[in-house]
Amino acid sequence: MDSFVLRSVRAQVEAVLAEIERLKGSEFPYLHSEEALNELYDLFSNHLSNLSYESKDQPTVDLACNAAFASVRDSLDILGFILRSTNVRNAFEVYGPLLRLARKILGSETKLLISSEWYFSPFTYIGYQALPGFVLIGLPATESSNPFLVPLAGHELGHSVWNEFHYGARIRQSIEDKILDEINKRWSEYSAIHPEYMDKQSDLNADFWMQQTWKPAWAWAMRQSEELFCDFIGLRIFGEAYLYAFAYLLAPWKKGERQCDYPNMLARANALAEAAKAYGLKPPEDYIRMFQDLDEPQEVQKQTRFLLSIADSARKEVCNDLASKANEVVTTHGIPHRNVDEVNRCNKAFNLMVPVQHTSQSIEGLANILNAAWKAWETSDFFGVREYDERKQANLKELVLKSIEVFEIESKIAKRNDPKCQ
Amino acid sequence: MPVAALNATTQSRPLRTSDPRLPLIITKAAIEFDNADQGRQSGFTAAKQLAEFLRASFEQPAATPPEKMSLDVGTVGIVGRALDESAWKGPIKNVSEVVDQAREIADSMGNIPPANGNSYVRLRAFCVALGNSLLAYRESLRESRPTSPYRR
Repeated sequence: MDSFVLRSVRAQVEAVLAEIERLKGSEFPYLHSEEALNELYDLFSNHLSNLSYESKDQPTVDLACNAAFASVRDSLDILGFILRSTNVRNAFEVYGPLLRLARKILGSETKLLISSEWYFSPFTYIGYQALPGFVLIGLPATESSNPFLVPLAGHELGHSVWNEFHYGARIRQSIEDKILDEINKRWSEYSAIHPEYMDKQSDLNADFWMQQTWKPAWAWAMRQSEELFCDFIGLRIFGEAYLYAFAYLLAPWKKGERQCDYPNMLARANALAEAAKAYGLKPPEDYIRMFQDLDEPQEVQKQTRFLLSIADSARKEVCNDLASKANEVVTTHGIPHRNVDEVNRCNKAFNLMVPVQHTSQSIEGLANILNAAWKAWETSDFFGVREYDERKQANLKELVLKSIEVFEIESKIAKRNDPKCQ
Repeated sequence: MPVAALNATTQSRPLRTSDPRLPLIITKAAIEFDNADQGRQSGFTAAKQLAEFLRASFEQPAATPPEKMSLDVGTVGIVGRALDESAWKGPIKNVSEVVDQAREIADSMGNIPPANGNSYVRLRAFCVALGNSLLAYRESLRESRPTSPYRR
């Protein structure tokens, strides 16, 4: 790489630093947005320091350029996300309860960013990869003020839980064993794709280069397992409300090729329905029928199809274990299930068009409110007054946001009055 | 040249392949070895962080036979390719070679020999290869992410 490239990348990093400085001037509703900017500023200052180093070793200079450029490219998305965290379209009412929830599981140092994305996608940021220590929750901009989708925050929180408690390390051996087992069972298929290894079946896991041939299956199975675990975390915290929110965003997704990192739709919906039963929840009737599988990779992509089917098998093998682990970690951190009686009480309050008061001050109070909201959404003629029911969703959104606000205020008052906190 | 320190919050977290700090730390380690090779003072702060990452990735719990070790296949791929590329001990054939050589490098980085030019050059070459291997791996993950059909 010549000095032109070095100078270009250095200028790009300086531009990012200048942009961060500008963004710091925004009016952030919460401190954590600014702290995220400081983390990124720190990262890029370090890249700039690397790029300012004068070396005669060209590969070292090239590495400094490549690493800095990759960070520049990857960070723009995140900087936009942080900027949009200032936007009033976001449901700021949920910030306090979600931060308490995140800290209850992940510890008191956890930071939270709530923002929106100009991309209608169920695939969201993995906060711990972009900014370790931060939970990033983003919904499509048009849905970012919709409190009905708050349960999906449980999924995003799940990614941080997965990372913080090393669940990947706990299951990776099971995944690897299952993948090797599957390839051995389907050796003729593997050999057809990799004839160079036809006679080396016993070296499948010992030979480094053979391992590279099935590594994508392992990586996909790990990613799929993480996604399922995150679904289970959301389900366990928010109960049936998670199932509805998940279906709201994903059930219309019926065409196109599936992503290797995610279980296909029916497998994911089935896993959720099974876990719901195990958690003592009641999935909506015909829940699975809301979903449709996306297309598998095309026939010409023989290797991808083969590896993906193996990844799917391995993930299936650990599915029940993941559901148990999710339940265990949420329970251990003192988060109870939603309470059916409280859900009904909240639902009655909504029916009277009044915000919920005096719900449980524990974090499951949020789950109670959200489950009541979805129950109301699913009840035809819920208000029993035509003009109210014609604007049912809008009315419910207002009621839910106001109820969450009351819930947060009551929690703060309770905390202030708690002798243990004084 | 003094290498700027990463802030305390991020420094306290263990490194993973997905961590945004890892390419930066690998680059800093390469620069530290380059500095040392040119006879300049180097604190080897990043080299020690990288050594810790390698040690944690390839540590063997007591009484675990090598064939039963639970390794992150992704990390093995990244490090194995770097070892092969930098020809630390010639071409890589087996996973066990990756484990042994990665541990050896972790030890070397953790106990930098004084004024050993050749070892600085070899460690720098490994860091460069590791950084490139990691960035290539991340790129392959990035390619599997969905993009908008309206984007070109």
